[in-house]
Amino acid sequence: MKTIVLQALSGVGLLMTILPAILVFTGHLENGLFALTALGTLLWFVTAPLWLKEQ
Amino acid sequence: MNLNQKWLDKIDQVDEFEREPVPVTKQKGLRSFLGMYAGEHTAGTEFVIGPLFVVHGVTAFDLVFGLLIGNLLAVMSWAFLCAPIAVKKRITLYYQMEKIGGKHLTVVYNIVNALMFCFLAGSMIAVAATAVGIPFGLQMPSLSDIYPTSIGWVVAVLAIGAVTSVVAMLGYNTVARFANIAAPWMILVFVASAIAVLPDLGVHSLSDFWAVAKSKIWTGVVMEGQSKFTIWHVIFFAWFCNMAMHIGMADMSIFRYAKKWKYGFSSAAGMYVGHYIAWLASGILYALFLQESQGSNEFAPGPIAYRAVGITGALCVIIAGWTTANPTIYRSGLAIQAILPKSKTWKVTFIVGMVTSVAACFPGLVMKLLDFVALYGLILMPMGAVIFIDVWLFPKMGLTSDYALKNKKNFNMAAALAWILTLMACWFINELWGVEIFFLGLPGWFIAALLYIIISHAYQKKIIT
Repeated sequence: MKTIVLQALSGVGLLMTILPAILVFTGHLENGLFALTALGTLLWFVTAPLWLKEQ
Repeated sequence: MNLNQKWLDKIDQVDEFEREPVPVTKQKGLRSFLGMYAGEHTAGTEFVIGPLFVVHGVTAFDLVFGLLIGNLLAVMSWAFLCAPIAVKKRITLYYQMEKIGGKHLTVVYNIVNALMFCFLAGSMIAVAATAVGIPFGLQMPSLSDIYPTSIGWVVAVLAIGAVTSVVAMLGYNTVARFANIAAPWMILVFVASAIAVLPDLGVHSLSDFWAVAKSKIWTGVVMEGQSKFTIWHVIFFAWFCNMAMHIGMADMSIFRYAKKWKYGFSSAAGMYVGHYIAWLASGILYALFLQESQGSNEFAPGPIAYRAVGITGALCVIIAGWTTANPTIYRSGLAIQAILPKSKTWKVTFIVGMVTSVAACFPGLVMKLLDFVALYGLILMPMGAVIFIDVWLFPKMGLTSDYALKNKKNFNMAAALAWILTLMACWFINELWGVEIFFLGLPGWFIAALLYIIISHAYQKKIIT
């Protein structure tokens, strides 16, 4: 269960790395690109080592 | 037991099977290699190579199709040349070289090899420094810079070099683990950076892309003082930029851990993500930089990535440089460790890391990266041909494989002559017919193979001594 939650959070982290850029490209996001991708990065590097270690 | 002692004990226990086949229990699954290759080849070099294609005036068509073909050839070289021998022998390139060429020849080879790896890793540390220097207002190098540009630059480079060396000292598992964690994120940052800046280049829908790619990104216009690249340059560069590792057999040291030789195809993860998507992405970023700076001569991947996605971009440049420099310093450490088998791998890796850090202080390594990468592959390639012929053809031809080991020789003249004469032949081809360095690997491999067979025949039959 813990692993699934961690993997989900990592997935959200990756999604937040790429999705804001796509939204900028499509014209749906004007501000916040830097902050959102940074948040996604943080989420990935905090959670991914925990479940990748178990695997 | 204090912390220092625990630390020393831990790194003393790092066993990399330098002089014995990797046991079955230590073999790794496909995922390790996919992660390793995707991480290693989506790396700091990609932030340099993509823009350098723009600098050399490659057209959009030449780049897109040239990379498809060149990368396919590279994957096939790993899968059909390097991995089968690595899995058959399960020893490092350096120990295999010692069996064939003898200890003395291996010493020469390893010194050359280690130096080349140091320079390559050094260029990646320099790339990372362009990102570390952003908050400090570091003066960035330009396309024409060869020597260190400031004290700040040197300090930034040495700091990154020290951290990279410590991680490399912990061995393959640490390197693979770090690459595995960083790889998926790094790839997405490359893609995100390029997508985010497309509107600034005038791409507002997918249908705009090709027209903008041809008119604003890969325009075919060469920057001042640079040479013109064609589709052939792109194909051969993509194929041979890792020639030392596939045709040159350096990745025997990696694939000796593979359960099956077919894991050689895992290199496609590195080629089509790193050497395709990332090269295109970094080219797009550089085109925007040129547009906004009105053709500035500055060449610094850190600020360019920061312009696209902020702190994430700068962090990506640092980590990308790190994941290339790490395994490269590790490989270099193995090369020297083979010369000094009684020394601890971590101690050797530390010294190699220091040499690398000093080399990294010279931005010329980055600016001439395409030429350097081609040169280092070419210099090491002949020994890959020697190993290939020795393993597969010699038993069928009635010649002795692992000649130095079986005859207790410290110096196999046949292997040495094949190496030196091949490089001389390549130099002649370059000088006489003006064939550029990017193309010399192909004729060079056949020359090396033929020379090794002919000279070995004479040498092993004692016609020459």
